[in-house]
Amino acid sequence: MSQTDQEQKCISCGIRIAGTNAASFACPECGHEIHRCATCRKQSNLYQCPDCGFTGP
Amino acid sequence: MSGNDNEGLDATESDVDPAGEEPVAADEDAETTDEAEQPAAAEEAAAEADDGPELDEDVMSDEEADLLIPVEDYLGAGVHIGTQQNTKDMQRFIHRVRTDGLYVLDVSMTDSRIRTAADFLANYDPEQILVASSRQYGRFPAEKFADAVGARARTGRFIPGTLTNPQYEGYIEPDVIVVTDPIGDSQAVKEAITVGIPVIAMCDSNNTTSNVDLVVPTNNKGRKALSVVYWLLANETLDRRGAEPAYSLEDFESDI
Repeated sequence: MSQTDQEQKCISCGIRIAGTNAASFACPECGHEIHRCATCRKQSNLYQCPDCGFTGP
Repeated sequence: MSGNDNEGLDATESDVDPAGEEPVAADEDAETTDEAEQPAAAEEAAAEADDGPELDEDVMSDEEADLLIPVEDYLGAGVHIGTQQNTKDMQRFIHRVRTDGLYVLDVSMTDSRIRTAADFLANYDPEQILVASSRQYGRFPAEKFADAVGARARTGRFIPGTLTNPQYEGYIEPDVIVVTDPIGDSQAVKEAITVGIPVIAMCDSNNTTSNVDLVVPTNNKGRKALSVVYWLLANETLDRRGAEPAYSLEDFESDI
């Protein structure tokens, strides 16, 4: 598995992100890159930044 | 979705109700009167709002929190006033429930999330930020916010295809979107999902946070509350960019 693939995993459920409806953005607190899959966004699953511990949404 | 539809109807009703934000003033009276007298008491308190209503004291979990503005200003604008419905998504932002059934949002979390949202927005080019507000009371503050930070605003009806149809003349490709109410601005949220951009939403106690990436818990139905939140967000965003905030709260308050 390449480094790119590892980076494209959902931060909540760990699934590899494919397709549309997913979102990538910098952590609002520390800037760490966060990926959320479509399902976790829709279900409003909490995510936690591995660097700063910020819990969203 | 039927639940959301009902909530949407409630939100619409409160949007056009000129007394929608008056529970702030009704607070103390409503807690000391019985249920039959509550409407009359609320009206009286609303009429006396300008005389300096008594304010809630128990509105946040962290009493020592360092807030952007004095807590009295938050309470005066009714930022902490939720609805009589709550959702599981918003429970972590709710501080308590009043005796009249209104949920009280945690003001310290609102303050904290405004700072977080400002940090977040400061990472983006100003013109790549889109602000949407279909809610009447949110239109003026949203446009003012967009003017202050250099963002784009789409107020009123969000034309379908604005983010997804390149043939539409108003088509834009923002990098982040700020919505005033995920229920009222559902079309904007839906299109943001399609194009995969993060969504910042001002959520009341009755909102679900589905497809929202950053929640700002606040009363999103009151005129003053929306003015205060957008004003703080604009000032903090400008501050993060190193610019001098040049707007006062009055600039964000529309004439009635």
